[in-house]
Amino acid sequence: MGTFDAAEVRLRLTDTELQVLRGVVEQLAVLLGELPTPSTSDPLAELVGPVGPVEPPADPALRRLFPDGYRDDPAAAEEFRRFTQANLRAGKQADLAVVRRTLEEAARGGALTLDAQALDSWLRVLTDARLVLGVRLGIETEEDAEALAERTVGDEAARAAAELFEWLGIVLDELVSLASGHLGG
Amino acid sequence: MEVERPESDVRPDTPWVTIVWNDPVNLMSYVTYVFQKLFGYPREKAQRLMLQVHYEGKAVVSSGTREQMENDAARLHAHGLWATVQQD
Repeated sequence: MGTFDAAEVRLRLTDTELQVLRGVVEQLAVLLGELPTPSTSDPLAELVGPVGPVEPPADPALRRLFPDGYRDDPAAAEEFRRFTQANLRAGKQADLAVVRRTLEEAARGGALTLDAQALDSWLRVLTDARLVLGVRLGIETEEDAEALAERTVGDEAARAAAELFEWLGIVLDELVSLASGHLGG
Repeated sequence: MEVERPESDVRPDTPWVTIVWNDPVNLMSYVTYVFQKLFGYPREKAQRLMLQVHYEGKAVVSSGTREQMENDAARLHAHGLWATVQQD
């Protein structure tokens, strides 16, 4: 499916595949926009981060993308979230912008061409998309993941989500093997 | 009676660790790649840690000061891995 030389990777995608990926990017962008952000009217306070507590997101998909940094210490988890969540979201939004831009270039130029940095953005975005779909599809164990086809019988929307989940996994695996080639070792 | 230690009294020789937890969604190849890229681990070590996460449910992937570990956890979160910090 793809090739890579020292500087960049190239991936051929059909128009339909490009369209599906654009949809994935836009859905992730909407989801990130739903992350509750503590607002403050003090611009100086915004520079150093929110002053009050930052609650973990209620949506389990958002919670998977923005997990607790401490397992058995709610106070430390809250503090970790207060100081990392905004950055984490900004990084995800920057990744989405890279994927959006390279998809537009691919639509014009025929092949998706990624330098090492853009490739990493793609890996993170495809991973996030699969994590969100995994939550929506109720994948909690390895067995759930393996029985995805049986689990979605008779539910068209879930079936489509499961197919997208599988296909994104194939694309991601291909891109990971290309990225691993960059690392050597 | 227990003596309460003030928070600043952290023994400097007590390391903190970053733990990565198993999830059924992330690709094994991707998790290996992330360990290589973020920590500079050789492929064999990265793969061994990935397999430990997969089969044992979790693995310690780095150790150091609390600040370093929080930074590692944040970088792992940025890559979609579920990581937590704790005192070893």
